[in-house]
Formats: sequence, structure tokens, C-alpha cells
Amino acid sequence: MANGQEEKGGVKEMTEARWKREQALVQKILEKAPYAEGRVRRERRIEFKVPADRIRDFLTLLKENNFELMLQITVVDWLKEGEYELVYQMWSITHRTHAMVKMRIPRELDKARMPTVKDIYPVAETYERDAHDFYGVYFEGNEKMEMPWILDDAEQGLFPHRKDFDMLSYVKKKYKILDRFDENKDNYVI
Amino acid sequence: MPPLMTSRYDLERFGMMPNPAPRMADLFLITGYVTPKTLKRIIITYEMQPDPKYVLAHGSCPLNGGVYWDAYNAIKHLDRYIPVDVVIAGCMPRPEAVMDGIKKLMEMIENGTADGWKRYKENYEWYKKNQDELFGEGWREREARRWIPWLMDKKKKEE
Repeated sequence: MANGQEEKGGVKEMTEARWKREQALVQKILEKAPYAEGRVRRERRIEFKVPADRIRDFLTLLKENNFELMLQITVVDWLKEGEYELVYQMWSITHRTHAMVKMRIPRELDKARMPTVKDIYPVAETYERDAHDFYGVYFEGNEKMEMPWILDDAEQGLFPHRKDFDMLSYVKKKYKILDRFDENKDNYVI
Repeated sequence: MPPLMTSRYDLERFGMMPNPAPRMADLFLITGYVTPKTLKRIIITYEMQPDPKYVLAHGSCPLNGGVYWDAYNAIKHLDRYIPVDVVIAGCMPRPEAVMDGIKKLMEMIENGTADGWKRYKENYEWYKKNQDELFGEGWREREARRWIPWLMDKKKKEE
């Protein structure tokens, strides 16, 4: 894809050419995956919405379409909607394009379960453990899920990055310095 | 810290050098926020150092939490867990401030007021109580054994 033709034009032509190519790429992927929605966000950024149970099929498809790298799995906690949004960030060296694969799962701890994609992208093992440590998303099939990761023993199982985690009262309890963190502004010591 | 060590401020011209091993160190610089996980290593490293030993805390984070004052995973007062001789305020402190702090520590060593290592011995019960409150009793053994179940599983699988 890195041919010399597009570099000869001006910046605007180049952007338009890239935009068209991304749209063609999205079309090509969506033809094979009718269950997904996709759009071009801007040049070199594309976005897909996938049902959570089809994620393995979709990532296999992306791998076939030259998305070689998984950069990150991020979790967004939508508290009011009661959902986690998982974003699998994929990068293609061939297309020079970043794809965000988004899906929603319920945020209750017993229902927040996903199939692992470890066998498709081996690096996902680390990111899945990360998501489990901070948000409590359980990835079925990843046998290192229970293994200690970043968090210390005290925070294991508390999932401190969830929006409803009461950070301030936990800090008060853990570090035993109550006055300094008084909510009353008169007693604010900082 | 990096500008202090590199050519612009060049701490080595005053005869101060980073040391690769805690067994030979005199001065322990804590250069940033301290998480409980790091603090375990800091305490163990501090106890490995030979006497006399000095601690210089660097920036507001070890002093009072700094911007991490409401973060669940950063300790708020380093001097509750190990004795600190000199604290440099600021976020981040300028290299000049660190040099000034080290000079201050040298003066304190001259007139005998840098007695953190003596205080640690005299008040060990108090320090140990604070450490145990944060980590739970027997944290040293637990930390050492933490990975053993997982390593054993791997070994069994290979067999």
C-alpha cells in the first residue's frame, strides 16, 4: 500500500485518497461480517461495533485482513447505562490504519464475561489480565486470569477503576489520615 | 533526577555517584510517589544498606501524597514507614533544589543531626506497626512466596 503515487499530490488530495481507501477497507471487511457495523472516523482511523459474542470471529477476520498488531484492550465504564464498553485497539502496518473494535457487555461482575482472544493475538493475554484486575471483566479461556498481576493483595477483587468504587473513603480507611481528607472545606488541610 | 546526573548539572563533579548495589550505599534517594508495592521493596532495600545510612525524599509525593492525595495506590507519608532525613518540597524540584538538599544533608551529617538510621533502630516497633497496618502482618514472607503456586504449576505442566 505504501506506493509512491499518492505522495506526489498535495496534502488535500492525499487526505481524500486515504479517506477513500479507508472506506474501501471498511466495506471489504463488512462484506464478510454482516453482523458488524463500521465507519471511517477520519483518515487512518476506522471504527467497528460488534456484538460481544462474535468478537472471536471478527478478530480472526481482521487478522486475515492484515491487522497485525493488537495495541491495547481498553474498558470504559458507562455507569448510568450499566454497561462496560470494551475497545480492542488494532493496528495495521500494511494499511497504516488504526481500527477500534467496540462492543458492550453488562457491567455486573457475574455477567461481565468475554471469550478470550489469546489464541488469535497472543499479546491479548496481558491486556485481558489488565482489564480483569482493574474492572473485573472475566475472560473465559485465559488460564492466567486468577494469577496476581499489577494490583497488590489489598486491592485484589475490589476493581478500583470501576466508577462506583468509593475511592475517598477507601483511601481514608487504608492510610488512616482522616482529618486531611475531610469533605468539609473548613477542615481542608491541603 | 536525569538532568542532575547528565551534563547540564553534572552531579559527579561534586563526587556524588549512583551506586548499583544497596550494600555499598550511603544515601537513598526516593524520587517520586511511592506505591505500597514499591514501599515493600524500599523497606527491604533500606534494611540492606549498611549503617550509617541516610534517606532523601524528593518532591511532594513522598512528603504528603502530592497530587496523589486521594489515590488508592500511593502512600501519603513516607516518614511513617522509614525515617527520612531531608525532604525536598516541589513538584518536581529543580536540580538546584536537589543539590541544595544534598548539601544540607552533608551539613547535618557534620553536626550529627542526620540520625534517621538511629531513629529507625530506636523506634523500630512504631515503624513496624505502621508497616504491618498497611501491608498486613507477615508481609515479607507473603511477598516472597507470592509467585510460588504459579511457578509450581508451570513446573508440573512441564513434567
